[in-house]
Amino acid sequence: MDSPLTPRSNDLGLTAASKANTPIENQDAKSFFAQLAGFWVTFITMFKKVNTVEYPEVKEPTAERFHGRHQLNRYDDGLEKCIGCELCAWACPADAILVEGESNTDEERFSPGERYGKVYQINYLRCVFCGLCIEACPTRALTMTNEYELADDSRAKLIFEKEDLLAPLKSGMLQPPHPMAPGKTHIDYYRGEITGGSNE
Amino acid sequence: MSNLALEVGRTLQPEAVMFWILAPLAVAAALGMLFVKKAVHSALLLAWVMITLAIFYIAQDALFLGIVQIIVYTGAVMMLFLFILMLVGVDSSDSLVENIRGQRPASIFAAIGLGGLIISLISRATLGVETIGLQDANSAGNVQAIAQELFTKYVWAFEVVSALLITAALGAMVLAHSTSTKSRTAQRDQSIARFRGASLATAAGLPGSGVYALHNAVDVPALLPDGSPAPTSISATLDARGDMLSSKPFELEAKEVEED
Amino acid sequence: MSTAELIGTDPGWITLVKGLLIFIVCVLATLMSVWGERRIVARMQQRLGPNRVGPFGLVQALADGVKLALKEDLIPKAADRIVFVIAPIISATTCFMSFAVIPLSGKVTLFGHETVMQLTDIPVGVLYVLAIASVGVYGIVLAGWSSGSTYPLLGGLRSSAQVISYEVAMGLSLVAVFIYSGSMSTAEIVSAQDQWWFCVTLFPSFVIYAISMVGETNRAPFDLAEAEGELVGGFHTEYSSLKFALFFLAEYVNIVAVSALATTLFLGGYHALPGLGFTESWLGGWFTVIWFLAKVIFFFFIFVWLRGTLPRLRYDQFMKFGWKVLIPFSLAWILIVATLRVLSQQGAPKAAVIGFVVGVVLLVLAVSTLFESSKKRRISNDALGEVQPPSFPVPAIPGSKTITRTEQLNG
Repeated sequence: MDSPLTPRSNDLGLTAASKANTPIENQDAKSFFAQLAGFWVTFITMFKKVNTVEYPEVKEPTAERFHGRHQLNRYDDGLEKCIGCELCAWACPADAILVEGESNTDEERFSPGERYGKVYQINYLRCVFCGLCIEACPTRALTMTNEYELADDSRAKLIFEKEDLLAPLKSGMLQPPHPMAPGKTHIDYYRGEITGGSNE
Repeated sequence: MSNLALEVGRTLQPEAVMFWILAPLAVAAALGMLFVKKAVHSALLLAWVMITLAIFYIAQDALFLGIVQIIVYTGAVMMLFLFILMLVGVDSSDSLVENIRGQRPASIFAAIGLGGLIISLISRATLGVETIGLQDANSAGNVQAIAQELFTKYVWAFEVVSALLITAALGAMVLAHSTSTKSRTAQRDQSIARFRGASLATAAGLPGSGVYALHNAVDVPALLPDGSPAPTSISATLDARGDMLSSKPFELEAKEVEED
Repeated sequence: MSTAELIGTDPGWITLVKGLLIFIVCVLATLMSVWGERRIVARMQQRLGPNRVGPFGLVQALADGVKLALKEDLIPKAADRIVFVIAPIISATTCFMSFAVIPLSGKVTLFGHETVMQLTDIPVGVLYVLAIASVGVYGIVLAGWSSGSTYPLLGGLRSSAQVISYEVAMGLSLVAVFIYSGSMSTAEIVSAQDQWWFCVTLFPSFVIYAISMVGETNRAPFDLAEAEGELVGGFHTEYSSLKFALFFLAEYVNIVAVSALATTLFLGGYHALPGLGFTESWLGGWFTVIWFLAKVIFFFFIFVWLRGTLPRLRYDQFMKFGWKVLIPFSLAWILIVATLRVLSQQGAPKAAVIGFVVGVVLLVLAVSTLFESSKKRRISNDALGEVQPPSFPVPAIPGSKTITRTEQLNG
């Protein structure tokens, strides 16, 4: 009778465990010449292919979603996605992010909507590259690139400012501050309906 | 083997220079051996004296003797001295007060006597005796000459000394290993013995310090594991003033528990 | 004329030039050994060694030396300052002195003067090397003591005890070489190996010497006293910059020195491989230096191979090995060699020699069989008898038959 407690087959697939339970066959010390076989192993390993990756001549590509340097993204017309909400700073477990928001005015508009991130600093001496800030960002302004070559020689140089972190301007993007696309509101931006193009 | 040596009694300039540099150093080292403060420094200066002697032996064609002087004396005997000095740590802080009465005059007398004996022996052996050097003795080679003498003329003394060395080595081994005549009790036997002791209270051994402490005041002495007050925990000042409180010795025997 | 006489005709400046050349060769050999060891051990571990500093990382050891020289030089407060400074000097100078009697080449012409590349040749040359090794132990002992802390002291004493023990075995293994070559001078030992190298005719001595040279230099698998990565550092724990560099230098020069001695005494020194004797006259006799260096490099490779393969022996294990195995074997072998030599020198008939050899072989076989059988008997006596299974349930003993879960659950 098939009791629910007993497995259907006797073979539980525990090969490693069953191997561990078998008694050791030959408990005597190996013969002198068998012990010399170890020398052959090291000798022949000298001629095997080496596993070393010769950085920096050879750089192995990182994984697709590698946690590298942060990047502040822009919309297609150049306005920044960051709204200065400081959620990333609150999410950071290492207290590495400093954000100060500022209101957008009609003359000086850096992002769609009311506010933008005026001061945005990430201290890479504190950042542990956990990615919680990326998970916290509501506008996908903050993402992580695959860049890991961040080493530098002074503490000051490793505090990245907003201009270090902003994504570069692609073709068709206009450097902020500039007004939103004519006739569009911030909701259109959030919906992704702005596809770039030249704006005044 | 070609004879590159000079006539006996003549010293080449380089050898004289070497002698007059090393000999004062050796004498200074020997004196320093007596007067330095640390025992290890003294041993090192003695090792330097031995090396200098070896250099002089080699310079006078006694090659085997010089090299063996380094191997045996400097490399083995002085090494042994150094081991002992380093492990036991003879210090200059040891007291120089002599306990044996009359030791100092007796030792001065003995030292003068020994010095006179040595000087007279050496002068009888060397003063007025012609030096012939080692050229003839080394005609077959220094090592071969020594081997010839050692295994024909002096073989009896050689074998007696080697028997003495073997005896000394065996004696050292016996002395070092004399304690392991009984086999050690195994863990199981030790455990059984613990539980078959006078009372079960001894099964776990004595408790650690502080288990039975009732007080930690400065005028109450601490307790030893058997319950008696620890003499080192008594403050001498308070004791002198009569301010130390007593703590009753704690009894370990289990009291009879009355069954209901 | 003999090598000793040839050297005796050297003018003073030739001796100075030779000394300088030997010193440069030693230092270069150290740099190359450090590089070689790191690269070879790395390849044995399927990785590259240092390859950044200079082409193929060749300048790595030099860069390490410069770095060590520029480091902060610390002397602990409890250290004995004079001896603390003297100890690495003793270690470093004695290991260079061993090269004075090693013949690096055959007859060559140096600046128009015919000589051999050997600084001096005394009739007790090999004993001189042993004496220098004995004095070199002082460096270790004094370094350990003068550091003023317990772990260097204990490490230094253990290191030196090990070195002294393996020195005895080394000396005994050389006695057979002296008997066969009839001299203790290195040049004569090399010339006695014209026909057969001593590693063939005196193979047990060669094996004993090879093992004891690894033990003498505190190298793996005998390096517990200064196990890098396990203990702090043994006798050189408290040493920092240039003094540590001197100890490091001394260790590698010691390795090259014992390899050079092994080459001289067992591998025929600067002689070419049997059959390639015509190469000895190439380059005006200087090609023999290449043969010598090739053999030393071979020994060095063996050192590195041992380090990369074998696990470390425990201190008491290798002291026991040195005293209870190597020395008795050496003594027995010396007796055999001496008897054979006397038989051959006194023109004993071949039958006596063969009878003696057969007798020795039979004795060895008998002793080893007795040993094996007593060991087997001891093991079988120690083995546990059949254990009575208890009456109450016990968990399954590991190693017994595997109980499947169905049996367990169904009772």
